[in-house]
Amino acid sequence: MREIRWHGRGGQGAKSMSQVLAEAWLRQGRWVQAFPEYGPERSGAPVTAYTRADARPIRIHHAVRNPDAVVVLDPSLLGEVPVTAGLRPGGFVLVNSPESASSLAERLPGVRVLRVDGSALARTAGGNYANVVLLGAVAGVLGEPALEALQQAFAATFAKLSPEAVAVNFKALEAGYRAALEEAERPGPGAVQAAPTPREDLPGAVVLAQDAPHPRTGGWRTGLKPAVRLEACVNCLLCWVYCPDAAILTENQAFVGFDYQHCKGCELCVKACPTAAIEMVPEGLELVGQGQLTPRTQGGRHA
Amino acid sequence: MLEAPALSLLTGGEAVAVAVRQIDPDVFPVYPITPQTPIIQSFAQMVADGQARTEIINVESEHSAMSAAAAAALAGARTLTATSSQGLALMVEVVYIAASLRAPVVMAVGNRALSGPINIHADHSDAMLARDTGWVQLFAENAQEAYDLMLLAPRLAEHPEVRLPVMVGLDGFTITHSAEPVALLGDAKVQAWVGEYRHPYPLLDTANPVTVGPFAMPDSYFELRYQLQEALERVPGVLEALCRGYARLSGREYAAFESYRLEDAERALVVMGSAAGTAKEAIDRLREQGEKVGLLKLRLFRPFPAQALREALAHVPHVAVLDRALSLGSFPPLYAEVCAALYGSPTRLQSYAGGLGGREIYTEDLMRLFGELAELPAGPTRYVGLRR
Repeated sequence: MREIRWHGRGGQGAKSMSQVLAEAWLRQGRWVQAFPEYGPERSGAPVTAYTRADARPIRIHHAVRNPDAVVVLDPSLLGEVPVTAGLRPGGFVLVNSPESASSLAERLPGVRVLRVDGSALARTAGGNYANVVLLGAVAGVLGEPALEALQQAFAATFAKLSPEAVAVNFKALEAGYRAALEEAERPGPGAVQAAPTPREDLPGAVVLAQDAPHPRTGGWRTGLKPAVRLEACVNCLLCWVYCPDAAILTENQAFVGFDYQHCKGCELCVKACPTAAIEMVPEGLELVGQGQLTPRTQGGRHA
Repeated sequence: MLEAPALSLLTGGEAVAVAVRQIDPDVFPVYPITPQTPIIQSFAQMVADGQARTEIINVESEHSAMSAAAAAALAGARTLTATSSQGLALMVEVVYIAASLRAPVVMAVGNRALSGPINIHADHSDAMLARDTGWVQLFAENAQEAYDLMLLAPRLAEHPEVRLPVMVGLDGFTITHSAEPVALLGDAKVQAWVGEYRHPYPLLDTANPVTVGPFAMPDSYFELRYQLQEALERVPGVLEALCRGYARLSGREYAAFESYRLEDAERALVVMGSAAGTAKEAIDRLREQGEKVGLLKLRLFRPFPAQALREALAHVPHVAVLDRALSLGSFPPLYAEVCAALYGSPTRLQSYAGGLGGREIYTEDLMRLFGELAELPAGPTRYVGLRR
């Protein structure tokens, strides 16, 4: 049996690709299974999905524990999710990243790391979605299913796409399938993270402030973050009241900025601000005047 | 302060209201429903007359009543409430949540049939609806027991080994609306008994903020449910110790169940609630005729004291279980529990159901039951008082 684990963020198409891969294998006479693992169902939140393929019917119904291959659609997940957990000996982790394979291998010691800049290849093909490139790439490494089967499966799954969009995605699939993947491996143990056990002394799932296994929900933002023009801020702290993630930072009851590690980019602060001092800006840019942006300077206090 | 007179003539509902007044909880969110209404009616009068400092919250539904109750208990307030039948059915979603949040709420339940057809009378179907919620469930035989169990309940609910909500059931109308003599404790004695409510992580302690009611993924939900199971398993031991203390205080003995003329019994009945009193009467009459019959009256239904019950019935060849509820399509709930507890034992069990929707269970019915018990071939549930 072949078992693949997909890591992405909500909206990046990890679940869709797990299904297209299964569909392609099905078209080549394999028995298959594709399923996601649902967590916080929100765009930007970490998503895990699985694909299985076998020569005989698949009856098991549980998560893949020891995958042959792991596909990581978003490199920002590497510090957030144990992507190498349970990887089978001889298996590999395929990461979509502009970063070099050897640099990625430093962060994923003990496993074979393959790297492709799927986002760049997708743009070259005329598309936006790295997931299709990674689908092509993982099939290319495994040697199956065939590129034609992947393309047929894609067209069948996304039957409502225009012929132009399908053509772009076919190109992206092929680019991934034929891509020369960079490869590296560093010695070390494959990371396995045990789930935390709820504390016996805190009945009722009470979570103390200091114990909070606070997920870095800042990774859930999808391209935009809040920014402030402090000269327009009247320090009413309505943003502090409305922020669902306690990501408004204060000092002596005065607004000082955002905790971008936890801000999910929900924009409630923008809506709550009575003086329009807060705006959403693209990641990596800073607000210098109303609607005026500048590339981020180093050493930003709360970045 | 004067001690209350030796015996007061009170309905079960009034006896519960007196217990609530003496406990003097901080918060009592409630929505009235027959036959629970006299509890809140009596208690609201007491609060209006300045006899309790409780904040009664008039909510718009039982769903809100339990939501407010769980939240108040977690905020750091001792919280009691009461309900019945459809009210419990409406609140049941939050009944689960109160247990999982380990909110030590105490709730009196005027046990009554569930619709439909609509019926307001005595029946245990409402309590059975909540048997898997994680609450401790106690059943009273009469007004005195309802009063005493209400005073035991906060100590049990708030005990650090337990920290679970507790339901005290009393049969609708048969007990809630029947006036019987009740021995009350003095107010000061009750206050000293219940002591001060302390929650270790009250929501209103803003200097030590906590998260309550978080989302639990597959990696932790199971452990949290298991914590509930373990807490319930600690209840019998804690209850036993509390009952010893309460006996010193009141002179009245309580336990998870009561055995009545069971020592040498050849035939026994297992029952909960008001029918247990009738059963004692039937047993006395049969004993006068030389029949070796006895009773096991169960007070603690959740957690189910399976091992103790098995030991108590080990020597009895024939045991009947009389349910005041059905589990439609299967064996009645109490019978199924007793059956599981006695699995592998040589005791022969027979299921009976009766008293649904307030149908009377007469002394003669139970005498007849004992009469046929030893002769019956093994068979399905038999129905007491059913016309067909």
